[in-house]
Amino acid sequence: MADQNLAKSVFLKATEMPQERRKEYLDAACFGDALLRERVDALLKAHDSPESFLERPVFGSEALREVETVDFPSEKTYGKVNQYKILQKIGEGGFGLVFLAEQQEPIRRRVALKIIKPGMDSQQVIARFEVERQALAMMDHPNIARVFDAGTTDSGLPFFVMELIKGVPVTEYCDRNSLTLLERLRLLVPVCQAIHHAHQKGIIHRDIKPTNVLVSLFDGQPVPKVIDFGVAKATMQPLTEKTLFTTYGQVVGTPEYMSPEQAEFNQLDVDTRSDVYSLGVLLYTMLTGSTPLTRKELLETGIAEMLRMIREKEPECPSIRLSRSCITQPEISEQRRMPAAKLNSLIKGDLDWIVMKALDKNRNRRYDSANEMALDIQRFLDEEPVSASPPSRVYQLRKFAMKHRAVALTTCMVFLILMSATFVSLLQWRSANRAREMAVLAREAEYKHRQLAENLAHDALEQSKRADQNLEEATRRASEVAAANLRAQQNLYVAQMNLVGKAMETGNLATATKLLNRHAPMSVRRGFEWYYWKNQCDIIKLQTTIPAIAQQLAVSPDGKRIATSALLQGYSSLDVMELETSQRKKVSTAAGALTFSRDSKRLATASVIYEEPLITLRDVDTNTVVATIKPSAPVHEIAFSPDERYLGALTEEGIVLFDVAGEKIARKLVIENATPASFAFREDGQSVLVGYRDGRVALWDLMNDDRPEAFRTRADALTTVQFVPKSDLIVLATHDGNAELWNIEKQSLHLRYSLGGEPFSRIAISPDGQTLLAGNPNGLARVIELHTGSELVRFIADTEYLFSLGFMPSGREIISLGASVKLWKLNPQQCRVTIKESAESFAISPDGELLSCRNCLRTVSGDSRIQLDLQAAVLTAEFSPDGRYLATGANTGRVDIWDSRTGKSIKTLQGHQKHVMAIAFSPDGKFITTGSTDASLKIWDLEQGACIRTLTDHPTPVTSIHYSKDGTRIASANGDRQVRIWNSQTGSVVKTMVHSEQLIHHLEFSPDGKILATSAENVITLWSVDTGEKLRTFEGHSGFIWDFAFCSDGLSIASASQDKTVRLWDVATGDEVASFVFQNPIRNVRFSRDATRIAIASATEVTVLFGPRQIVDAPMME
Amino acid sequence: MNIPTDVTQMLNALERGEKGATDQLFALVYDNLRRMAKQKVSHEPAGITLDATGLVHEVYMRLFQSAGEIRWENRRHFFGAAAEAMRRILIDHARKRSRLKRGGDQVRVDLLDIACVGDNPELLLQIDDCLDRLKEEDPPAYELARLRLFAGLTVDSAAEILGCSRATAYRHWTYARAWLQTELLSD
Repeated sequence: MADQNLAKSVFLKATEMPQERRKEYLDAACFGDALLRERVDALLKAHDSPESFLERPVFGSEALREVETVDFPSEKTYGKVNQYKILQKIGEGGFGLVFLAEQQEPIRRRVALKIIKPGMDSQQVIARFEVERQALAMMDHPNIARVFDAGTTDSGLPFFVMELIKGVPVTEYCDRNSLTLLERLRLLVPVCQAIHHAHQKGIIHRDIKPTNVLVSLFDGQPVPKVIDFGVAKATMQPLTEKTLFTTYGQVVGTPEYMSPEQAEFNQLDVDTRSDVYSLGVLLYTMLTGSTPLTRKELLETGIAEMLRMIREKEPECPSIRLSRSCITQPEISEQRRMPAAKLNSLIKGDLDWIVMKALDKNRNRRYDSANEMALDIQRFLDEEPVSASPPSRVYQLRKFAMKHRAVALTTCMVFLILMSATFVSLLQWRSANRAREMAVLAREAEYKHRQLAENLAHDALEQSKRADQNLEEATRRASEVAAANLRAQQNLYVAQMNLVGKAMETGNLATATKLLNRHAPMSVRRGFEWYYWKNQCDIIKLQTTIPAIAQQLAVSPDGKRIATSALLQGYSSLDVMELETSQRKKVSTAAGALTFSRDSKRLATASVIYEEPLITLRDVDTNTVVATIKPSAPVHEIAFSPDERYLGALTEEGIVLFDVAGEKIARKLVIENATPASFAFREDGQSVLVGYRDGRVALWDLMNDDRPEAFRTRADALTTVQFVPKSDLIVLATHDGNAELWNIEKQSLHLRYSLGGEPFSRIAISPDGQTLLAGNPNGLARVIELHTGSELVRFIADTEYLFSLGFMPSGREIISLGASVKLWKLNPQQCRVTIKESAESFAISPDGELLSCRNCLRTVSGDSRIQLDLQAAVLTAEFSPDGRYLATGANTGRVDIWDSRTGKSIKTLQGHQKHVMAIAFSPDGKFITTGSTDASLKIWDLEQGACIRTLTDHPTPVTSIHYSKDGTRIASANGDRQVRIWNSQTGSVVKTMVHSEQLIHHLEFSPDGKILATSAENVITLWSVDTGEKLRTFEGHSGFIWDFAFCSDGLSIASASQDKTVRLWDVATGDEVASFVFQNPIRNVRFSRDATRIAIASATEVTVLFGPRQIVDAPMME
Repeated sequence: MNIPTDVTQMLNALERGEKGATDQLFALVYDNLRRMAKQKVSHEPAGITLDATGLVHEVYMRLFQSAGEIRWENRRHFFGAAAEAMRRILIDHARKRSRLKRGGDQVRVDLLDIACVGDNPELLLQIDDCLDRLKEEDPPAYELARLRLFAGLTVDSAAEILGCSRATAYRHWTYARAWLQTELLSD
């Protein structure tokens, strides 16, 4: 017996060398040891025998093939693979090992080298790869790792050479860095686009999973890269039970990410939509933290069952999965930096649909391309409606149609059989005529056929009955679909109005107008917001865009020409343009500040020529220089005095006044240690206003040589000062990006404007002194009511930067200079009015014309204002339905009725012991119900002025009362947090609705009386009046909701909140349609009865928003 | 047998090196392998050949997925036990079948028996005999062959389970295969 150990080592050594060298080796190794040689030969013979049954496990005739015994490189056996020098192992997967390697030729670079594990036919792998090599080479996408090369190692293992990506799997990256859902979505968009790029080159990835999408940082930005393109295809084996498991626990094809068509046995036609599916799984996983079909449930069962599940089992929606996972794994919510409830509501709806569309088992219903999926995700990110929709409706319909078609088909066939049967019988009858002996037979035959025909006819009738039923069903479905369609349109409206709101906020009027115009007058509905925004958009319209490269702009006083100048590196110019003819005249090669003379004929420009500051005065028409002045320092701003005696120039040291006629310095306005920022001549020409950079302002008298006292404004630093025409008021723009209105004589601050906080705001005041225009350097401009500070509209004057903004002399047009010169038409139409009135106990008359403010009755326009002769502090007020009376409730318990036109007291209702907190008129105006802190409700007959009923069922103070529109019911809320509904005739409690723990601030019936809405804390809740059931809640305010009001069409509710916003809500869906932001907490909000206006009251001012000009009868809510 | 708690307890016992833990594990694996094989056979059409590799892995998944991270020593224990269990099942049935073939006792043969055993029950018994001999002569090669042939592990996995390098594992396997072949031919 040979030494077994020796035999083993010689044998093994021999197997590792090429056949031709073996003999030589064996001869040497076994020299003189015949037994050893015999043993080794026997082993080698067995080793080389082609079909060894031992090559597979002993059971199962078709178990896994596992033949290669080649030396498989591991981290311990670094070496060279072709021209690649293996440096270190960086990964290991089901297919093989990944190494960091260095390519030596033709270029020296580091690459990832993936060596496929033994067990695959190298030739086939390489052959499959070669097929795709061309296409792979054509792929060029920043989010795709290039595959450079493929080949076989010396030991015959296939390998791939790829771009080296130092990244982590995308899911790991997301969780490790706690990316929010939106950040995760943003990360997936380029992945979809990369896959789409590959698809366009004809390459399907087939194995998209987190470990094949690596994220690395470039310039601090996460960049996902898809790796392993072409690898899956090349190494793919037809799916059989034996190929599914290669090593234990390591499943080829990663079943969680496998598309249903990939899970078919011997699948042949995997197309690009298979990748879309896998992208869907990836998205699902990134959102929820687990795959749609979890590894656990897939592996729990057998392989056949697992594949069946992949093909058939519908996964749960991501939102549902996420909510469930969040309970067991709280880190999921942390890793997404959002509470579980919010995560759920963010995913629910659009995101669910996007994911489920990608994951559809039927690939025809998936996204047609990865790009469409990317677009939908992008739409979601842009808060636009997505194309994916709940799959059920259309699908169900189609299925129904199919069913229906089957019925139709049977009916047709029955009819055909009937016809042919009759025909056959006729034939036979004729033959019976010819041969009498056949008559009986024929008759019999005929009878039989008729019998058959009758049976068939009966069946046909049955079928047609069924068809009728189906028709009914179809009709019912159709109406359902119509309702769903309407719902969808309403949702679209709400979604688009939210977009309009965002567009208005960013001043993007073009987008807002576009979106608004999508809703034609007869479309689903237009709420108040539509009209309000439309009014806002109509305020300003772009008229002309004039191409210009310029930094400064001057408009001639006659409004007919403009001058622009630029002093840019490599480009300088001075152009004058006639606005009517668009004729452009190049005046000079360079200029800085510029201004026209009063007669519009001369243009003064300040420039620096050969480092010498120079002011040039020229005649525009003849283009001749009339005068030149040499200031001692560079000039930043110039202006003529109104009488044109002086030309003022702003220099670093101070304002220099030049005598225009004498071409010499007349006076220098200098304050020690103060650098001027801006100056302006007063209209009368008698003084000059100078604003200094340190925030001080001084008014220089030109009539004497006195030096004025500069006074300090609130601004730490200011950039611009301007006079408000025909007044003592000035506006200054502060460096912190806001503005202030001051009385220059009294040196008192009137108003502060909030301009968004961008320093160097450009401001302009309309010639009539009513409107302030303010633009920030980024191009966003605001139209502001000068005396109230109320912002009418904002608009994007230029997209990137804005140098100058001003009124044309007419005051009806605006001119802006940014990337181009733009002329805008300003339509001073009313979209809102702000009234400085304290709005305690606020009410608006049904026609929207009269307001009740603390102690006065006034019109919206302000042309009438009547002081009420109040005896006590008023807590609440309400107009009668016809608007003739105003009722006020006081802290003494008295209720006063006033004539709303004259302000005269008509009646006083005495009875309540304590504060009257709530007043409601019956819809017919005959009764008035009051609620008090004495815990009672009193119903008064208005004509008699007598209390006809006292309702004392409330144990605690009454906070709110409302009549139903038909007047039969009164709802009241009180301090015990309960709502009572009373019969207004009998005074009995019809229903008590228990509310939550919070105090109810306000309640109202919907116009149709079916819904009761209540507000408590920051939530409005809708209740069914019939059942007392909670219908839905409006959540979104971050502060208490003090007040709300139904719009008369019943479709929307306006809410007023401590959080300084008024919001409009869609009653049907509970969605927020619009939000308006104010400076102060809002106490009250009321629609005028015709819903053309909304009055909004804060402690210091009342704002009226204008909606539709004339009212179209809106449909009542179902 | 309440599997999950058993597995956790059992793994703890194994780690502590408790007496009888290996037997317990074996019993557990054996029981599960049989049960699952039977269950599969009753759900699949008759005549299908069971993939025992898959079977072993499924048992592994079923038993250990709830146990969290499994240390490789325990995996080794498992696959050792699984190989042994599978060997016993197969040999058992091979014996029954060969008796049947030789016209021996009328043993009730369920589907599982027919499905699992290869076409040649005698060959299987021979292999088993040879393996016993290899065990004497070259224990590492025997271990590898056992895992490969009866637990259906790939050589790579077997290497991992045995804690040796892949290259070594491949050498052992190459040798064991050739060795068994020569033994079988000489028998």
